[in-house]
Amino acid sequence: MRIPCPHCGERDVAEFRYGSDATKQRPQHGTGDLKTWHDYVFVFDNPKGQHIEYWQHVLGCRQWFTLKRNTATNQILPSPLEGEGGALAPDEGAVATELASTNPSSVLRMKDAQSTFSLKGRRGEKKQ
Amino acid sequence: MTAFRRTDKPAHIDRTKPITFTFDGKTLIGFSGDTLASALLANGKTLLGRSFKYHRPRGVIAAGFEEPNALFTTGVGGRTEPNTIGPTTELVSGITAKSQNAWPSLSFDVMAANQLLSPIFSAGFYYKTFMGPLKKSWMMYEPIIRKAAGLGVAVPDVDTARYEQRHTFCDVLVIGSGPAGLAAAVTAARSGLRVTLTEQDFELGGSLLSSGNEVLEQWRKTQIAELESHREARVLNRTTAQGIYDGNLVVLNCIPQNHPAKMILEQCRAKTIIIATGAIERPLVFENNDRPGVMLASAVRTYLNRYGVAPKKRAVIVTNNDSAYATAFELAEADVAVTVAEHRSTLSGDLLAKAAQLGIAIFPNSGIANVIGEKQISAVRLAGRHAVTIECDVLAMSGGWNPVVHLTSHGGIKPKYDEKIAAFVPGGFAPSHYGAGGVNGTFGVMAAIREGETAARAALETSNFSKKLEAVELPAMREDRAYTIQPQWTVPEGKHAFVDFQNDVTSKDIKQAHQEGYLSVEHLKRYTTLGMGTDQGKTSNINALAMMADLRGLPMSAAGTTTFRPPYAPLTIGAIAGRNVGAHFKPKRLSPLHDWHVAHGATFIEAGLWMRAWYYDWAGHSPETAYIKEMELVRQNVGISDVSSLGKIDVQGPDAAEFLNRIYVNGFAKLPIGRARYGVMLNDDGIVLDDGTTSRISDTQFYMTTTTAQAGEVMSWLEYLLQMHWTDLNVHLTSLTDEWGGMAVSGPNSRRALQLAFPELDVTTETLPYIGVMDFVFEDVSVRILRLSFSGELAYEVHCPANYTTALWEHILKSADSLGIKPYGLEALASLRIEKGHVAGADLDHRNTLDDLGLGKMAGKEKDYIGKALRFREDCQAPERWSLIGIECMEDGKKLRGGAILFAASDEIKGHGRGYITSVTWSTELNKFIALALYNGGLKHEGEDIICAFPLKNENVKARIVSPHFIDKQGERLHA
Repeated sequence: MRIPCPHCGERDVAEFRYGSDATKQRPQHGTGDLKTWHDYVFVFDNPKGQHIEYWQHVLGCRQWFTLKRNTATNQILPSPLEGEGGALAPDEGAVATELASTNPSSVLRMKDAQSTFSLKGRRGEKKQ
Repeated sequence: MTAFRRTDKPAHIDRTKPITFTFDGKTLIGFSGDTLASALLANGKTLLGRSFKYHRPRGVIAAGFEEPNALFTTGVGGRTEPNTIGPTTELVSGITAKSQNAWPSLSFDVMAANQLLSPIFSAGFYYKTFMGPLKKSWMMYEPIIRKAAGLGVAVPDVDTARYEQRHTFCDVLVIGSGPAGLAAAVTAARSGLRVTLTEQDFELGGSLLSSGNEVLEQWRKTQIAELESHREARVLNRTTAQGIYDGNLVVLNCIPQNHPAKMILEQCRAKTIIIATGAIERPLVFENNDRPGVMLASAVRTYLNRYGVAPKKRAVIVTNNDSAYATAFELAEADVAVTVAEHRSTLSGDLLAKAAQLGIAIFPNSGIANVIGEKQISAVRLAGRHAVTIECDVLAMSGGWNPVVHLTSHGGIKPKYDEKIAAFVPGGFAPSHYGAGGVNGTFGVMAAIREGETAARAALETSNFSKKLEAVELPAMREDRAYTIQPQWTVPEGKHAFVDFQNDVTSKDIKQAHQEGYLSVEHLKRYTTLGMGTDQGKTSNINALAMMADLRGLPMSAAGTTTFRPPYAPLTIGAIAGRNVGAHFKPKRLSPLHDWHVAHGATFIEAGLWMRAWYYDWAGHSPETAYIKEMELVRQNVGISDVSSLGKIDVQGPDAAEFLNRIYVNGFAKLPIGRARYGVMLNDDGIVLDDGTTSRISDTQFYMTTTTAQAGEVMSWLEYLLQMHWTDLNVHLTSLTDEWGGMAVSGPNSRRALQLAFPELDVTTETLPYIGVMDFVFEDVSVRILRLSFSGELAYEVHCPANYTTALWEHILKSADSLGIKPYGLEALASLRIEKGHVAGADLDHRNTLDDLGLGKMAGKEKDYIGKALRFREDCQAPERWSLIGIECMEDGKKLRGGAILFAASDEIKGHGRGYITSVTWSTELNKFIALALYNGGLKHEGEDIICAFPLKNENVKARIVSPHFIDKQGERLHA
């Protein structure tokens, strides 16, 4: 399996570590009762098909990112930082919208990253 | 009497280049171009091994990887390789081949008596005999059975061969170099894109090599020559495609020539893949069909045309399809008297005419009733109306052809049954995969070439290549004749009608499995062992599935196949390990002080990836005693120890204090500048993740240390929180683990030592109290002194950039030499902390709560920290959890041992006990063995007597539960 790191590009899976299920909403720090935390930590779906996961490019740029992966086929959809122009306008793809609905903080981070990483240079580059 | 002879017809062997080899100690001669199997046949060797269970005599059946029986042990010592497949092993000078599973000799095998026991060795033998009432006797019988049944034996010697790995990529990968593969590779190569052609054989050509047709031979040579002319075309013979994985990763194992490696495992990323793996012939199932001399018809043809090895005089052919007639005709042309037993009742006119012309007798509606001859076939008796007995040297059988669909199915696509050719064909192809030729069930040469070309054009289109390409020239031959077959699935009568030649599974076993309810193909496989072993059922699976379908009254399409998994052919573990063996098994992490330790008599021990100084020569040469001297040095004077492997993280940013306050259970928000604090982190689930000391350098900068073991995990976890969740916190983390080295200077004289090393510096308790931190510059090098103690003595940690660590270490040793300072190793370091009752990696088993470790009071009551909610779940608050205790040995002259199981004094010594010892040491202070342990209920049982059981050494040692703080409970030494 190869994983497209939104910062470094496509790399072998050996460079990455899997984190956890990114469709789950982490309770805000200092909030949440026992039940909320119990469900967050211990109760998982095990979907066959499209899934969103946290991965870290641990032997590379060390950035965490969300990855949309088909658990049955290992097919990977471009993550929001990649692709034409690298922009993350909400209307540009279902991925972004879906991510926004499942994990607002990750989208927030990517919006921040957009300005930080100056993705403008990549605009217009065609993905191979 | 020999059953085979060399012909003088053109073949793919070089008769001018003889090659010497040995078989069971006897020297034989073959030719360059031979395989081990063809050379053995040419030397008249037909009895080549004994079978798996019944020790029946066996010979060569096939001419490829599907061979179930002609397996040998080759090589000597560490280079010994069991189960070498005779028909795929290129004959090279000096091969030493030995037959397998026979004793004392191949011809007279004592275990052949197993044949008489065959009724008890039938399907499900192991389960029935040893899982039932006789279960206990399994232990007794197992070695005997293992000795009696089996293939080659692995040797205990270390494999001294070198294995390498490489990673490659290409635009078009063509697997198989038969007519389809060659046509595909040549077409693709004309585009100028990167093309790789792989072939498992040492010769390119696949089925073309077996044809004996001059026109096809010319065509083959032309294609190979053209491939060589294309700069971007890479041709890999002796290379087996073992599996196709996600993202078009194809694993190839290559046997390189003129290379120090015995084998190279190649991971090839291919944009497109053309699978041209051909087809394998199916045997027919009849009584005694395993006798040496009974072979696949296509194999007989291959030995004849490729290796110039023909049956001596007479051959019988039994078939249910047209393909075997090529063998029949070519044998007749090579002066072999041929008789055909034809299962079908009608045959097309052209075959009949040619047979008549060559003097071949054909018996329609005929099969084989029995085979006569034990160690070599001498005659066959036909079944049916013509129950005649025919003398012969060889019986060539053909039950049809199975496309080699394995690679098409590795991604999960199930093969589908094709009635027309009575075989399973690919159930589809993954995107960017294409099939051509035999794998598709296309059995004609001309059609295969056309399919190869079509597949290549499709692959090029996928690779965005759109220019026009010239078509591959077809050989000047007539078109393929249509392939017809009448499947032969019914289960034959008889006791010795073998379905799986390698695992000795007969038609009777399949009937029995059916009667006993093992109906699904997966159950059938596991119950009878059919399709296991080195050949993975390449010749047996489909016949067995068909018989089961027949018994169940199901159509073949409903029976399905077992799952195809990589590797396609046997693959030695060495190839998978590659160069990651011995010292290269995992990377080694070395402290910046490593060379110093080496030069000064340190013995090393692995701690995770780290190589750490264990103890030093000055203290002795035994790990059992040296550490005691080193401990005494620290308790009484001063020692210095390398702690560079500690995880070190620089935490900076306006929100750094808030961040640390969230991740540690205890408060860090108000930690004063210039002070350190011991902190514990929990996971979200409330279980202890790690501990360490973090000090405040400035308002916005902290210096965190973690345990050696958890350093990577903690860094990754903190990055995760900051990057994915707490994006509002302005904090940046930098790992300093490798950038900074560290040393602990410990013992009552440690302050004196520092004063001697840094006379300008004020390290008195007033300026540098316990848990104080001080940054200063010494000879232009940044140095950080932290007054921390792992040993419980007055102690300091001195950290500095890794490049200067050795210089600083030597400086301290030299300056404080007058005190008698010496280095101490990991064993003493760990023992000192056990005496002090500090927990470390061994005591933290990733199941401990704060309370289990007696640290519950550390946690902030008012503040929020990770793991707070789940820390208070019911299970974590249960009264009888395994919790930290100290143990004192109560028996003189006895040892406590790490891992010992703990029982209360009144308990029966049985089962898992109430806890176990996690760390143990000899205490120089108390003059006895002491230990840290986890125990049900923990210190509630303080003062109670227990038994430390170590069943491996038959030891039961009396001990007592005490506080884990064995020394200096008041902390007077610490604060001195």
